Amino acid sequence: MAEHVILFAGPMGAGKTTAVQTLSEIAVVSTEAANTERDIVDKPTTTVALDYGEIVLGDEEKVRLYGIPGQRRFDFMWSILRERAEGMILLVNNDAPDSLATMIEYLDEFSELYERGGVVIGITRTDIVRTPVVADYSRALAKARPGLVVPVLGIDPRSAEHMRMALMALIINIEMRDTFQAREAETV
Amino acid sequence: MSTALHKDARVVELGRAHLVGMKELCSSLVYAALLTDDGFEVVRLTKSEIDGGRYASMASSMQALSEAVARELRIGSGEYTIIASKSGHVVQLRVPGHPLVLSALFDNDETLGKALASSRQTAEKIAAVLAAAP
Amino acid sequence: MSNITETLEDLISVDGAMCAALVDSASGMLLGKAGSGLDLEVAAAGNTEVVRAKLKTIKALGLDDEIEDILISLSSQYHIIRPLAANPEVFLYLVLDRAKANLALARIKTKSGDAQLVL
Repeated sequence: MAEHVILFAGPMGAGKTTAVQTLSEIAVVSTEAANTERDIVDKPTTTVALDYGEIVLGDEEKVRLYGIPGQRRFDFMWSILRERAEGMILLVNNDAPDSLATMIEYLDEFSELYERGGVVIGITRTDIVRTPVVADYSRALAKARPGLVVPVLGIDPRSAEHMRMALMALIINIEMRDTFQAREAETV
Repeated sequence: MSTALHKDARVVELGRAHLVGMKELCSSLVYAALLTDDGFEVVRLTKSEIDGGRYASMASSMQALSEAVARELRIGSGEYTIIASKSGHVVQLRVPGHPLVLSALFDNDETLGKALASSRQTAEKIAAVLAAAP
Repeated sequence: MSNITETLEDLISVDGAMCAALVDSASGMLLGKAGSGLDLEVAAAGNTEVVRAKLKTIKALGLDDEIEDILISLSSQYHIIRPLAANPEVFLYLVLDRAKANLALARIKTKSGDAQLVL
């Protein structure tokens, strides 16, 4: 069985823990602590180390899912988890202040993952605020990082269908790159 | 509780007093910090080379992972988390009944038993004071 | 391990005994305990420092000698610390209520406890 390791990255409140819980077939290992920053993001708990889950896609692909803590003060965890991953689903919540810039910020933070593997960007909470729209993110991405081809989707991390679709898109992306790189190596 | 613990002056002061007390009882104590579950430093005993804010985040991650392992293995709630290294030990434990963690670094001048006992006593004393006057 | 518990239980049967422990002085941690009345974990760690300090002093004095036991009189308690003859890294610790205890008897009892222990 092929094994993949995927990271869920993005700011606090984007839905990373939710996404891992939606996808995981095993009980998720989570590290939630009482959130003392309710004024910044109003949720009762926050991830302080990682989320870990697993899913088997079809017969063939076992995927290990790691969710990072969103806050920058846990960036030592980002370093640890980034090293393990082949690819990343970057979640950005539409109602975040300056969400377009935040997307670029996290993309840059994890740039080795789009170089090494693949990235899919998921915009969450588009039901909470209507703008920006997904096209705005694609445009911002094209402008800030021309030449970078990354799918941008509107998704709900609570929806198993959305999450599977995003995950499959990422796995296909990774596998295509692997094939492409193998072919390139052959022709040399 | 309306104020976050790390912003509550009373908690900071009583935390400081207890960390100082811990140092008085245990000469091998090199560094100690009281932090919130989500990684904010409440107070620390100063040691200039350590980035207190960063350390508090790391200690909270470690606490959460330890507790996750204990849950996974079904061995009951955690007592201590211990990192034993060549030139010192880190001993960490929850302040019972509160979203606070005591994390302390000891050198090898005294035994691990001393480090564990003084950490436990300090955490229990802090818990008792917080419980008595919330 | 049951030999440790048996020996400690026997030790605290002496007149005036409150509690007892067997301590590993390398780690300062308890190998066994019996009775109650004080925080034996704290006592184990603290008394390890007492034994170490004494051993250092003996060495500094150039004495080629060993500690048989250490007797400490507090105003209301006696504490007896006895490194095991067969294994001096480990010590027996006995706490007695001074008003009810006979120190000489307690010392003898501790010595025989040492002989009984099989580690």
